[in-house]
Amino acid sequence: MSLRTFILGLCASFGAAWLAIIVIPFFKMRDLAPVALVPATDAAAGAAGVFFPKRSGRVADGARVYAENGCYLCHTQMVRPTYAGNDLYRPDWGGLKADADRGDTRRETNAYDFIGENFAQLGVTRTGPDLSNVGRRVEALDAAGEDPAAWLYGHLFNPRDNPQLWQSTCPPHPFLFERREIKGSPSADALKVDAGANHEWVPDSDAKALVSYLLSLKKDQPLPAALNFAPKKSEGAP
Amino acid sequence: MDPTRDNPIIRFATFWWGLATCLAFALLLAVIGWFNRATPESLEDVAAKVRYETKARIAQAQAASLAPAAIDAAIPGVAHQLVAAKPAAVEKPEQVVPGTPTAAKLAAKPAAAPVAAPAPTKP
Amino acid sequence: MSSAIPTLSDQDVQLRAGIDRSLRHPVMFFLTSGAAWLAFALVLGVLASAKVHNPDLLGSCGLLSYGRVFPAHLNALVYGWGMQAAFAVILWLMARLSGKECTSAGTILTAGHVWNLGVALGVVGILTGNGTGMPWMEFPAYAWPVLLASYFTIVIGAFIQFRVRPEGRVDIAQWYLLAALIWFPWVFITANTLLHCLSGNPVMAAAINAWYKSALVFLFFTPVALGAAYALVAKVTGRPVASDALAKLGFWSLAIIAPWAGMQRLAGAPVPYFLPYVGAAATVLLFIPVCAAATNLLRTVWACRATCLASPALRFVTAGILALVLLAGAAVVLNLPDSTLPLTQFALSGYGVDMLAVYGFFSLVMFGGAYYIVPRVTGREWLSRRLIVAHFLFSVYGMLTIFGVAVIGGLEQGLSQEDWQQPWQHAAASAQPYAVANTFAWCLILFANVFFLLHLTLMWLRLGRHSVLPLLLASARGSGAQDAAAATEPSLTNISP
Repeated sequence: MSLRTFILGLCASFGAAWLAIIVIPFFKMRDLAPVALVPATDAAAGAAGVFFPKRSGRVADGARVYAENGCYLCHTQMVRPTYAGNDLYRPDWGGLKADADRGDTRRETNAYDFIGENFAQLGVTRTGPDLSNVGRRVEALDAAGEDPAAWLYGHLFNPRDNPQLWQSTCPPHPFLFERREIKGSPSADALKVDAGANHEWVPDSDAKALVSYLLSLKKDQPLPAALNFAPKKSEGAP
Repeated sequence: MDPTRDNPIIRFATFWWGLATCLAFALLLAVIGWFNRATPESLEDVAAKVRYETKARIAQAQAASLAPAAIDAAIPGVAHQLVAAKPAAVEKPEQVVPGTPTAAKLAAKPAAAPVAAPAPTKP
Repeated sequence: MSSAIPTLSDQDVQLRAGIDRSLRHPVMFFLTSGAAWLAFALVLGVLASAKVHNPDLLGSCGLLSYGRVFPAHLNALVYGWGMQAAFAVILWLMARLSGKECTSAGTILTAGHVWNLGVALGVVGILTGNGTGMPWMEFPAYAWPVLLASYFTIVIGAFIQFRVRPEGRVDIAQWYLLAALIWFPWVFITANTLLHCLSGNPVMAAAINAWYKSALVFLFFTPVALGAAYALVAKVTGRPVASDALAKLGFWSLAIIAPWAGMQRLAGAPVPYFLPYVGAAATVLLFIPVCAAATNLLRTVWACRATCLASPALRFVTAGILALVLLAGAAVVLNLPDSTLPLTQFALSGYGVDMLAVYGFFSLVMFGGAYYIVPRVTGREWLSRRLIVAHFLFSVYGMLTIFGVAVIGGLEQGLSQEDWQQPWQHAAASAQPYAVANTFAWCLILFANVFFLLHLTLMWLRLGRHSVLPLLLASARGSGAQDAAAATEPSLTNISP
């Protein structure tokens, strides 16, 4: 075998896979066509235009902080369809099983769910729960009178401060907060953590961006018929 | 050592062939990327089209119902009317600005009849 | 059965000595700085693993938060140790197998320092909170062009040496090494350009990242280790490879199958449906090239069992090949789409299998290479048999623990994750004991490599033993050992021309 034959063989064997699973899918998915809404079937998703799961909050900044602090190592953001896993059966991962307004809003992740981010943080392991709909889960705290943002700040500061999560192995992130002197009145964002006399812990801009990002994680918008793979309600789903 | 297999020319050529081999797929990617260089329309822009259409329709309807020429024609008439009108004294006590001499005079007058405030209705 | 060990001409001995002398500084630099990065990565690895079950350990320090320490550990291990060990072995083996001295040692050393600088900047970047969040590519985006330029400078010499080699048969080891050094830039540039320079769909970016991880393992670390294994087995046992046809089959099946593997991590993700399942199929099919190469190598080693027990290099290489077989087995068992893939997709088996590949297989073979190459380039013999045995045993114990955790723990964690009727705390709690076992395993491996770094530094400082006979692990008395001793003597070792 000569060097030339060898290199050509390498090019052919590598190139076939390179084209078929890397380059062509990359460019095709870059030009992903939006799904047009059909008024007859997609009234819930919107009457006209395209399916656009708009996200509010500091998505870009928050995603950066999420990546920099390695949240993706223990949390996933992928709700798999039922043929690939049991994520959809959980009551609050793909959406809410019993939402007050819409009933069962659970759905699997789709290709438009990561708008505003450069890299979908699908996650490496599931040491902690899936975060696709953490915004929805946390906002349910409103009913109990708690502020969702405050709950998230407290969780980031030290997850084990929350007695319900005493077993959590989520790392503490006190470095995302600032301990400062109370000037005038305490800040609205101040944590309910003892910071010493006349001091308070407040989130810095990274913590605020991250919490804003987490609150924007609500991936259970109603889908147009073209993207909706849920079984019909009459068949019954757990 | 066979001099024809190892000489500076072959080494020089091999250096460049080696570089080319290592960069082969990078060059191919550059070519493919160049043919695909048009940035696709973002979902935000596509979704915005409906909004722009609605906005254009509304602007058109507004322009049709409120012709600027008609507004321009009407303004001088109303302006002259206002200039010609004499200032009249305020009659209703609700229209008196609190803190002015008129309000003080009104308060000094014995109250004519207390007006019962209507009960607020919930929407 | 036993062939008379042929003697080499004086000319060959001179040639080999010249090659070894020319490569002394680059090879020792890469091995020593690589070993230092290995020790650093292992310390971070122990810390990261401890934080999984003890999250408040050193909790107030932002630099050491789990989300930063773990990627720093992984990237230091792969780019600081893995790549540099590969450089050392590629440079020495390609020079020796092509019979050419290294003429650009100075350039290679400079490029090596630049590589170290790049890795150091990258690790500091991750720890200070500037990581990119892409697994195995967490170095800040500015690092990859630096690493690429340095890589090219280091390996182009090996490519040229192969091209200008004298007429004759080409060893399978040379094909593997050449393929590895061509595949790495193809994979590295593709992934980094598509993820950092071009913008595309975020989910597809995650898919390409998953492919990159697998491609780095199977298209760079695996061929480097297999090439080194073939060369070292031939050199130490003095026998040619058992079957040429099997060797070629192993190589080309790796070349054809491995580029398709990797995307099974994205099963169920909104990417083209075939991508994850092609990845799973390719990962499972990798047992073909692995079995071909392993059969070949182990058959050759089995015929010289005594040498295997006696020679440190051969012992490490054999253990590495056995780890490769375990890796292929794990790849089959843990990636079956309908049964085990949903379980292991987000469980700790991913990390365990990655570590089996990078440490269990690749690093053990590299250690074997180091134990063979260092005496030849420094002209000294290793100091202590005990240090080598300690290095070997603790590494093997650690790796077996990690493998057990990956398979058993991973599957159990997967099963409790999929048990949707239980609250999540149930699944999280099931992983805890395995996390503790992992920490223990990393402690063993760290312990092992402290010995290695110590030993290697002493050799680098030319404090090794002056000896004609090589250091052997078994107490070498008797004719069998005599053959073994003769076989490992540099001047008498012959590789098939």
